[in-house]
Amino acid sequence: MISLNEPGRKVIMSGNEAMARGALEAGVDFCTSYPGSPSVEIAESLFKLKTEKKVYGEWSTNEIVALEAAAAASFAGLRSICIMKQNGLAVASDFLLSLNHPGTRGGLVIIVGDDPGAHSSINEVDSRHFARQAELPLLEPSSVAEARDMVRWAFELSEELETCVIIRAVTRVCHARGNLVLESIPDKLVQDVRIEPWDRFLCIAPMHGMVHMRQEKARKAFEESLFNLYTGPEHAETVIVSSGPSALYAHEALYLLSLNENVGLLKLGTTWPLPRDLILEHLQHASKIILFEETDPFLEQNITSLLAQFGDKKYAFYGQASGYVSGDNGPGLGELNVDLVARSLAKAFDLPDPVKLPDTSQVNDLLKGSLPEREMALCAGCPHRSSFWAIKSALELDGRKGIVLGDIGCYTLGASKAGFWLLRSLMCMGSGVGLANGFGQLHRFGMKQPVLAVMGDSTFFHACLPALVNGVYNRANFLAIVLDNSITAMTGFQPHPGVGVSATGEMASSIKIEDITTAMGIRTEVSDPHLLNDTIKIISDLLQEAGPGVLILRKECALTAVKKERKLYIVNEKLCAGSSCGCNNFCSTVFACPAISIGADSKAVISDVICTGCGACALLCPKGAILEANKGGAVS
Amino acid sequence: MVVEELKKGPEQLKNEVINAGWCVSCGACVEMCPYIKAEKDKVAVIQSCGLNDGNCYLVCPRTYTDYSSLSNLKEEYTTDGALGTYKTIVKARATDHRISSAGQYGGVVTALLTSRLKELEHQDGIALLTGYDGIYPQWNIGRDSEDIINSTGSKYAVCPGLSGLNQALRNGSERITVVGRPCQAVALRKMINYSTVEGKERIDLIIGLFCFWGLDYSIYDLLKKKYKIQRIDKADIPKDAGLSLQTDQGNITLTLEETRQFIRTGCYSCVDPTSELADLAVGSTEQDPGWCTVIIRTEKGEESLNIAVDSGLIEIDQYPDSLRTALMEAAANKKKRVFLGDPDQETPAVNTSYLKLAEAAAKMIEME
Repeated sequence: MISLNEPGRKVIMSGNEAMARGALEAGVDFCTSYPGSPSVEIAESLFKLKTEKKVYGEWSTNEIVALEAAAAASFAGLRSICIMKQNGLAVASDFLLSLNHPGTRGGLVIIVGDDPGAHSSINEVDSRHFARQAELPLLEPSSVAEARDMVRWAFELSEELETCVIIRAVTRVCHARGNLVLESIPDKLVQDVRIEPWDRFLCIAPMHGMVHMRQEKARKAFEESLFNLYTGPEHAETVIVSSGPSALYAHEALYLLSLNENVGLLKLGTTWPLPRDLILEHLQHASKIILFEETDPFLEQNITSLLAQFGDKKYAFYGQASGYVSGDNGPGLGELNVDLVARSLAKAFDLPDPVKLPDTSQVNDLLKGSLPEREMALCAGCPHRSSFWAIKSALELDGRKGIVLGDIGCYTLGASKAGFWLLRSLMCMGSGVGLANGFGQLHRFGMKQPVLAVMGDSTFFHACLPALVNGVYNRANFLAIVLDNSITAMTGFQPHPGVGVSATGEMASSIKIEDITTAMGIRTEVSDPHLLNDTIKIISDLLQEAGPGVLILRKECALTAVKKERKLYIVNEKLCAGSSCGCNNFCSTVFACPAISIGADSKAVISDVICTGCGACALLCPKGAILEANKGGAVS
Repeated sequence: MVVEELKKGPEQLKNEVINAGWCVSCGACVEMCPYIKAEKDKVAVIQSCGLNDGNCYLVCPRTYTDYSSLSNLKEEYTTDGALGTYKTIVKARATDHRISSAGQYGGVVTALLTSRLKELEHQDGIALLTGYDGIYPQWNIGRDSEDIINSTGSKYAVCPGLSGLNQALRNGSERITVVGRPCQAVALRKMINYSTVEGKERIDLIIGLFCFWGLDYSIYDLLKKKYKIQRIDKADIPKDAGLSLQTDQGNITLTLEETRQFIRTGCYSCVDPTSELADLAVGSTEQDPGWCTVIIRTEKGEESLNIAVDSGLIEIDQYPDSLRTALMEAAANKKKRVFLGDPDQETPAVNTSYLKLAEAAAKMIEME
């Protein structure tokens, strides 16, 4: 669909697909990304087209490498796009803050997916600050169609300004579906690129002036941009300033409250540098300024300072700072929606609450009892469940109250009941093993507890290598456990350098984690986590060693493995003792595989739909009541 | 009938026994359920099952134990404060040179197992005993005389071998002869008398060993590090000496002082050096290295010894009074050290509150 070359045709697309389409309509040549929600499908959509549209695509090991690779393509004159999530821009920021100095040649667009409400993130991050810090132009789409339009324009803008352009797309734009009228996809001229003898890509302090100049040039371009739109009466007393989907919420709320005749709405699509003159034109005569934006009060603070400098009267600001604009949990927390925006507006205008629908807490009260409680759970057959049980067992047997550090991945659930509350730290990618470098030195200060760090296989390549090198160099005492499910599972099964397949599906080198750690001089062991007793033994053994150790717990993600081969396990009802067994329904309540529930007579029941056949429960059942279906366990 | 004191669960097992340092690593609670595991000699409750009345607690030899109600008190049996209840004591040795040279002292345990397995040939008999996994003692299952010869010899270590019994009970249908330390005999007797463990009737015969203390596995870590040994062929603790080992690196002898550092803390609360609750208790004679002491404690024990004697695998002899006196003295001294403290080692009396109190008091009086 996204490569359909039928200009004028009206289609429905997701925001992510629309942004990929925008890149295609701009003739993108080069795409790099590290997968992260909510923006993961942008790159995926482009990678599917690599032969068809001659777009080079790669899953880079991390976001800074992704941006560096994309910048190189731009230096060579190609149009290039780099896609990441909010946390990724932080990873890439070191390069970003130097890339702004030499600037770029071919259009270079960075799309950063921000996740207000942290639907699939560990934190809420407002990436717009990076644009301000790096003095780079920033665009914020409100809708699916606008997201496509902005991407297409961003390439032109990047080439005009000779610097990269950042697009901040929030979850509700990335994941929404909307109408789009297709524009044509250009036929690309195949020509050889080259780096000229005079080309230099240097970040040196004297170029800082250039960075300021480009920013001023961007501001001027933004003054005229059609992505900024004022609606409402001229010289309105009250003006709303908003960006992203909040601008649509504000638009709808104004009609809902019949305030659209009286209140102005300045929707900004270009939010850094701010289009100063445009803002002053619409706000100078107002006395009340209401701001709707998600995550941080970015517009609020920048417009406040703009008006303090250029305004000629006293303004009242209604935004996060004053508490007027607030989600259920407080200002700057979670997403906005039409209801929240309408409530805030009603408050500012002293109108009755217009929202007829109950709020979240009332909905929860209404549903109480009618829906089963669902815990956060690892999938049926997930190797991480076995890994965590083995780690927990080994630590209890060790008895020194060892600590487990973690980071981001499916295994983040190790911080919850699903992972037996094992994880004691959860921060950015690679932070578990990073922290282990510090905890692993604290034996000098009398700490006797063993230190373990878990990381995913994709995370290993992304952010763990420098920390492991540091651990070897400085002889830190820790056991690094790679929970290797042989895929980047959480973001939807993207390959990584250990998998042997490229982003575009070609054969690639498979880099073995054990080869790397062995070469570093670290004792490295590999075990199948579902073989619980072996794994417990190996962990127990490694915990006795000083210095860094590595254990790779390798088992393919159950969701990919089940597509290749599927075993089925069933419960022999005669053997399962149900609640009279001393195990107290271990398989369904403690080990808590979602495929197992408690059925008649409190005996275990395995769902043949959900079970992926990992067999871990069969190893743990004290009655031996769980059997592989075709191996003596068949029920006729 | 389970007494009230034993109606507790894993939380109490963890707090009163494991964390308190009294666990003797018998392994009886291990692998009964998914929550209790052992690694080498360490036993841990991985997570509480949430139940407060469990087999794990009631089989433990360091929870409430009433020796009199678990003993085979019969008119023709003797009961004394030093050796417990028994019918008679004999000197015994294996007649087969291969067995007696491989086994400890007279090789009686090896010969008994050989005889028992032969006898149960058509009833699927197995033996649970302790062999080596590398240098670490590890339980294993013996199915024939070859297996038994391979595991022969005392280990002097606190191997949680009854975890193997729990696995054997779960998976098979065989009748099981268990060779174990006194604490393991206690656990088995409690399991048979009190627990709801399925298949416990398959525990066929309990051969208890004399044991004055067991060693923590940390001693093996030390031996591995210091002497680089990979394999232990035979272990012995000669009278008034420390641990003596035949290994792949030659003979290694530790002094008694060196050895004592590795005694399992839980063993200091043990008042049962002669396996008072076993069917047959077997140990050294301390005088004659070619013979074993065998205390016949039950009819079943007597019967199986007789069969071994009748089939010519074992020969027996009268137990001299001098040996009996020495054995009683050794056993009584061990009990005294526990109840009253050890003046030589300057250790105080040990917590024996797990024993039924009236009985403990009576024993003290008897010894005085």
